[in-house]
Amino acid sequence: MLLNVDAIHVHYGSAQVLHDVSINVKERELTCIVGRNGAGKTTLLKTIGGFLKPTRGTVTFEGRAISGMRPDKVALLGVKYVFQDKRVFGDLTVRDNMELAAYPIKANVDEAVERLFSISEKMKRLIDSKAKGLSGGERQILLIGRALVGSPKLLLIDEPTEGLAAIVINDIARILMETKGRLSMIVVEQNLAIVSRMADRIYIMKEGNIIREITDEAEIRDPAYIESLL
Amino acid sequence: MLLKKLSNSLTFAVAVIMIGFIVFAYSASVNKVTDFVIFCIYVLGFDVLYGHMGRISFGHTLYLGAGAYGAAMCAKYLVPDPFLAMAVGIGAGAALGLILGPIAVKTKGAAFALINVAFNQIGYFIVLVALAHYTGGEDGVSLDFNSYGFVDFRNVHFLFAFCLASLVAVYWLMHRLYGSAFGAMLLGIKENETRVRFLGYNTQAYKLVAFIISTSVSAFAGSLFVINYGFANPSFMDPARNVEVIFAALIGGPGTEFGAVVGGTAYMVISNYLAKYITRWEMFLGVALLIIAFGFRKGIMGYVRELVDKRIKAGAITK
Repeated sequence: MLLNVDAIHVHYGSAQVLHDVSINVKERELTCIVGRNGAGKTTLLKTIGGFLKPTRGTVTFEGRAISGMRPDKVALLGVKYVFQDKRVFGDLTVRDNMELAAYPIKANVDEAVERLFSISEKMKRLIDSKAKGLSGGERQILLIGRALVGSPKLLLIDEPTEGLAAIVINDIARILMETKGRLSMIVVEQNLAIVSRMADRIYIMKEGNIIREITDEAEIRDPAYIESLL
Repeated sequence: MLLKKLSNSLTFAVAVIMIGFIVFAYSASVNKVTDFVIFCIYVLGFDVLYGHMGRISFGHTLYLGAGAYGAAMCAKYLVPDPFLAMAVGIGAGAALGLILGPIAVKTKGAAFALINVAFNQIGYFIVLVALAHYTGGEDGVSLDFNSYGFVDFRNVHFLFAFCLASLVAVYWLMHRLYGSAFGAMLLGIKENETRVRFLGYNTQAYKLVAFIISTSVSAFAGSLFVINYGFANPSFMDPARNVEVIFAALIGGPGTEFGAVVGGTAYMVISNYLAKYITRWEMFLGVALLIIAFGFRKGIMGYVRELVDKRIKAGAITK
C-alpha cells in the first residue's frame, strides 16, 4: 500500500471536520473521492499534503508516518498537490513555473518542459508567456504538468474540472487517463461521468465521514449508482 | 525585436546607468552624484524584500546604519582601511540579518513592516545612547581612511568611479539572482507562499537568505556613505528616514532592478534640488506618495515595461 490514512480526526478550531476517516491508495491506482460540498474532501487532501495536522489517527506514506509533517517535506517525498482554485504563479512565465517546480527536487527543467508539451501541444506557444494570461484550462494543464515534474509518486488533485468548459473538461480527463497507471492519484471530483470513467477505487464522503468504498468495476462504471449514494 | 532585446539586455541597462551617471556627475556635481549612486545601491538592497518577496520593511535604515557603524567602528578602533571597513560593514549587516531575520521572516504584511520598525528603534537607541561612549552619541564619529597610491577614497573622482563600479556589480548580482530559480521562487512567495511550500520549498529558509542578502547590500551602501562623508552619526539609522527608500522604490517601480536605480536617482534629485527652491519640499513628497498609492503603483519602470510589452505585442500582431 502506498498511502494509508488510518482513522484520522481533523478539526478547524473547535469544529470537527473529519471523523475517523480511513482510506488506502495502492501503487499506480487512481482513487476518486466524491461527495457533496462541505463533505470534507478538500480537508482530507490537505491533511495528506501536510497542510493540516490530524488531531487523532495517522497518515502513512510508503510505510513512513507523515501526519503533521511540513508540506515542503511531504512534497519532497513525492506527494504533489494540485489545488482547486487553479492559481498559478501569474507573474512568472510558464517556463518559470516549471523551473520553480524542478528546482527543489533537482529535476531537469528541459525534460520537465518537454513532458508538459507531451501532455498538451498548445503549451509550446505559451511557454514564454506570463502565466496570468492563461485560460482556466491552460492553467489546469500547467498545474498538472508542474505537479508531474520529477516523477512524483502520488498526485493529490482537487476538483480538476470545476468551472471549465466541456471541451476543456475532456482535455483534462484525457490527460488524467494518460497519466493513470504511471503513478498513484487521488482525485476529488464532482463530475461523476468522469469519475466513473477513470477511477479504480471510489470513496464517498458525507459530513466528514467515509460512508462507502467502491471497488467493484461494474459499480464504478455506473455514475447513476454513485449518484444514488451521495 | 530590437525593442524586446533592449528591454531585457543587462548590457544595455548597465551602459545607460554608467553613461547616465557619468554625464550627470560631470555636468552637475561629482560629490552629489556619488551620493545618488550609493543611495541606488541601498534601494536595490531594500527592493529584494519589497519588490521581489512582497515584504515591505519600515525599518530598513537599521541595516544601512549597521553598515555605516560597522565601517566606522572598524576604521576608528581597528584600522582605517577602507576595504576592511566595507567588509566589516557588510558583515555587520549580514550578522544583523542572520540574528533578526528568523523572527522577521515569520511575519508578513503590517507585522513585518512594524517588527522592522521596532528593531530599527532599538538599534537607533543603542548607537545614540547605550553605546554613545564608542559611537560618539548624537555627534557621531569623524574618520579618515588610508589611501594606497591611486586608491584614494578622498579623491572624489576615484570615489565616484568606485561607487559606480559597486552599483554596477550589485546590479549585475541582482539581475543574476532574479533571473535564477531563486528569483522565481521569491516571486512565488510574493504571490502565494503556501503554494511554494507545496512544491517542496522550505520557504522560511529561503526568505531568511533573501533577508540576509537585503540587509548585506543595504549595509554595503551604509559603509560607502561613511567613506564618502568621512563620518558616521545616528542619522544613518534614524527610523524617520525610512520613507526615503520606500518612496524611491515606489517611484522607480518595485520589482525591477532598473526601477530601483531610476527611483533612487529620482528621489535624490527631488530631495537635493527641490529643497533649494521650496523650503518644505517634503509636502510634495507626501503628494507624490498619494499619487503613487492611488494611480501609479507600478512606478516609472513598471509603466515603461508595460508600454514596451504593448509595443512588442502590437508589432507581433502587425507582422
